Amino acid sequence: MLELVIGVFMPEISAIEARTLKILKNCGSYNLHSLKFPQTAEKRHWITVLCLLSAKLAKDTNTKVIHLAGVLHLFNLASHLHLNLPEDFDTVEIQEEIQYPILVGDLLYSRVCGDICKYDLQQYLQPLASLIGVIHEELVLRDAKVKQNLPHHEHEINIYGVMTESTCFLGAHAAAGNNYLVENIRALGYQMGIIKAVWELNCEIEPYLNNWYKAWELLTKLPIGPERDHFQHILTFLGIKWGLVKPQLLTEINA
Amino acid sequence: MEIRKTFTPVENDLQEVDNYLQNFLQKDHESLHTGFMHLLKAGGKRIRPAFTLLSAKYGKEESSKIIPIAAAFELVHMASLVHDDVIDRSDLRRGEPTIRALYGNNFSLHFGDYLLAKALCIVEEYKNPRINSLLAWSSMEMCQGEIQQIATAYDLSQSFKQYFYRIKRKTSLLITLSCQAGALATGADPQIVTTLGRYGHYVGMAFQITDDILDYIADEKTMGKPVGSDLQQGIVTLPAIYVLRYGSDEHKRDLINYLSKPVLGEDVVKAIELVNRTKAIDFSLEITNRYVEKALAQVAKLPDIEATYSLECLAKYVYNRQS
Repeated sequence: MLELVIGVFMPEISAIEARTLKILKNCGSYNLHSLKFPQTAEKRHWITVLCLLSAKLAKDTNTKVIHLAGVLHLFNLASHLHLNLPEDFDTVEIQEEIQYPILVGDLLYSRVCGDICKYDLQQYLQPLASLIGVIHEELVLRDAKVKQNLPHHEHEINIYGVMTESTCFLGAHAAAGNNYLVENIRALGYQMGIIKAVWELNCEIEPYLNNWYKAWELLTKLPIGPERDHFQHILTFLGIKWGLVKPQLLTEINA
Repeated sequence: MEIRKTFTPVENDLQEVDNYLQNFLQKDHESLHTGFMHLLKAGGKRIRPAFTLLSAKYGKEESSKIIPIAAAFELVHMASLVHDDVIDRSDLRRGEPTIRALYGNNFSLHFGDYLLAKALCIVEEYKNPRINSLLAWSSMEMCQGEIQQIATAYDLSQSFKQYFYRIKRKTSLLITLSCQAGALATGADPQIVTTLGRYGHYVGMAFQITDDILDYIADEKTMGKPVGSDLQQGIVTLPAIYVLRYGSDEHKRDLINYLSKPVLGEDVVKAIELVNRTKAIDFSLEITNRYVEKALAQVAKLPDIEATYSLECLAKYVYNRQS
């Protein structure tokens, strides 16, 4: 899904990955490979790619955007580490499955704040801090429902939605400041995050068809160009799972 | 002396911080609110907010505006304790069940992150880049201190330098930040901010060393948690390092025998008794005293106001904690 886009931003993504690896190695003495970081490109680079793509769509990538993408990459990794812990201590490797994920996740969240200050991105501290709060509140609600054997995917879907929304908004804003295009990109990000979550979690698409159509509608409001094509490619790829294709939109019918 | 008696110049403000915390999370989800109320009920000396409020007295602006940021540092501290209790598998803190014991690992993890996020939002509202940077940096260093603590569990070759480096990160940094943030937020003279930072560092170090001493000499009621809990987790603190460095061959051999594997049951008692038979506690108290003296030397550089007297009393209180 992301191969084409990753190819476009390979230098930036490589630099971000190299820096991330250096940060993780400098964290302290622990087995880096024991940590459950996302391994597939879709999970690992979803946030980074969308940040860079949104920036390029809004105006262009620049140093500020690349730093922000690096920050969001750390944020993504930290959130993954803090997704789930075993509850039963007796059957787990305490250090590898509980202690290090907690501490390295905490460290990465702190590093997010540190890098925001270091790279003069302080205007984004509040939205990112709020995002941490939203994510973990949703996870508390999710876990409560899991314990009661109730459907709980809506909370994870919501997390994807707000994370992708924030990523797209912050990337676009860092490139172009406040304008209507940035707001459109933000809205598209939210819908794409929802669709991506449904895809990732193997949920039924029917309850989320509105999000699917909304995403396409928002896409038409973006400037024509390679960046919009990339967003379209991602949406098209996601739709294959459910046999969905680009819908014929009202705007196109009217045209 | 009770510690709250040293907070006289900021007693009303500290009550405001308590009120702020009481009303905190009221509009949030019930489970988060319930967990937070449990944390508040478990108490806490509110040392970090007190330092923040006291340091604000040295600034040019109204110190009452510091209430939220003082509360934020208590939230950061609470978040770290909630995560620590999962990492340490602790069931008791301050005599009450931990969040982990009540609600499990995952709730504790997410709840701690939630508190941290809320604290960051509060601090960010002050639009003070220096405070933001210091908080971010302190948080990173705290995490690295904890990682180092786990990595060096049961490592009996630790030096004094490694121990001091670890406790600086684990405890002293947040207290240092608390001592600086109030002054920074109210526009205090940069030299005073520096002096307060140094004071916070020395007091923080003394505070952690006395905590480590208490783990050997206090009872469960005083500690609010089982005695010897550090030993049980393989955390080698100053008294144990002293014995391993300067103890007699017999004492060294016996302590190595206890500490080279998870310390359980009777071995905890025996290890504690062994350390108490040596000069380790006296040595550790002497080190504490030196840090307190350094803190008092910084106090002497501060303007002669009521807050300065409180800081002096606080430094002396830290030393007297073990009695």
